[in-house]
Amino acid sequence: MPNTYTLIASSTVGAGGASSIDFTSIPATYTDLLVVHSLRGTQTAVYQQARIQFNGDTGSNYTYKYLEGSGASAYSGGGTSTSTLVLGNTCGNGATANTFGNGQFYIPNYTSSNQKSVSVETCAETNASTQYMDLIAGLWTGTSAITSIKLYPDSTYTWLQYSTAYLYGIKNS
Amino acid sequence: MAAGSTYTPIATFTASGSASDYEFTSIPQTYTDLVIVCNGRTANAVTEQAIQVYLNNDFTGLGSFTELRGDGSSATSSRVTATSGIRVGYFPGASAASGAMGQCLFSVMNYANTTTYKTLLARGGAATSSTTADVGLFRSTSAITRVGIATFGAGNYVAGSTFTLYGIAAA
Repeated sequence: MPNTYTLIASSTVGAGGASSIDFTSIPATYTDLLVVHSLRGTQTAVYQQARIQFNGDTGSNYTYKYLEGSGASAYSGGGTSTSTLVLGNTCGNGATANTFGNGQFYIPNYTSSNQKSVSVETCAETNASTQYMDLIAGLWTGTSAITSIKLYPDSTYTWLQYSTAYLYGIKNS
Repeated sequence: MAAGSTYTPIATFTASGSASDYEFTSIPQTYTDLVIVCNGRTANAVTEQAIQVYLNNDFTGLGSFTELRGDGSSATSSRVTATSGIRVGYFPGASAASGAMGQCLFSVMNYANTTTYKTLLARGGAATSSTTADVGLFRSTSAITRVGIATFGAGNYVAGSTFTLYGIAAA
């Protein structure tokens, strides 16, 4: 059977932390991309917002809608023509020790000349009184093939050691 | 799920702009689960258009679904019973931002068994209007051999919309 679900690259943050996890030179030989991540940031809070940008695009070219549950309530919000695509809340450094927030996002037809849709699921369960899970629909209006993905925390925070991200390529034939 | 041999493309279709539905037929019974990846937009003059799945070409109301939805201002849940079309998300319509694409990703678990009813799990995303999660039930013990994916109401899929069916083998 064909090998259609292939690990392209992975990254594990070292002892010094990292301001971002970057996948670059993504080959154009797949149909879809999937990124699976486990993250903890330096923010002194239970949560740490994660974000992505494609192809180094910092323009106002991202739109998203989120659906978020906190364990007590459900919310929805979003952004239009923003400079980043919000992935929702993963763990901050105020969360229960040794916990990391997990998530994944899926990008179909990442090499097409259409705008790119993104489907995101992120969670940060920590056995604490409040945590968050997010379901997000994202859009990048870029029409170039995606060749790089930057995964980074909001503001000036950084990812802590042992944060990981895996990039998979999926082929439809 | 990184083992490539268990995530096998069965069929794929790219819309030309002339159809409001597409059906995968003669689905082999050799996998455990099905995964369908849809990416597209419709030509209907609405901001978003529901995408619904019809299993085994059955239109006798054996389906039901429950949806969790966020539209950017509120979180809601709804459900429909005794329906033939099981919702799996939304695509942007012609009234959405120009060029915006959406996606629906859904799984049909244990699709080949002839003992139990079939369950679907779906994630939908039309970022200009909503994000959704749906769970669906098809109250039939027949193995799934056909999966139809249709716009709810008028409107064709725009050219370049894609639909791909994968088979997931447990072993």
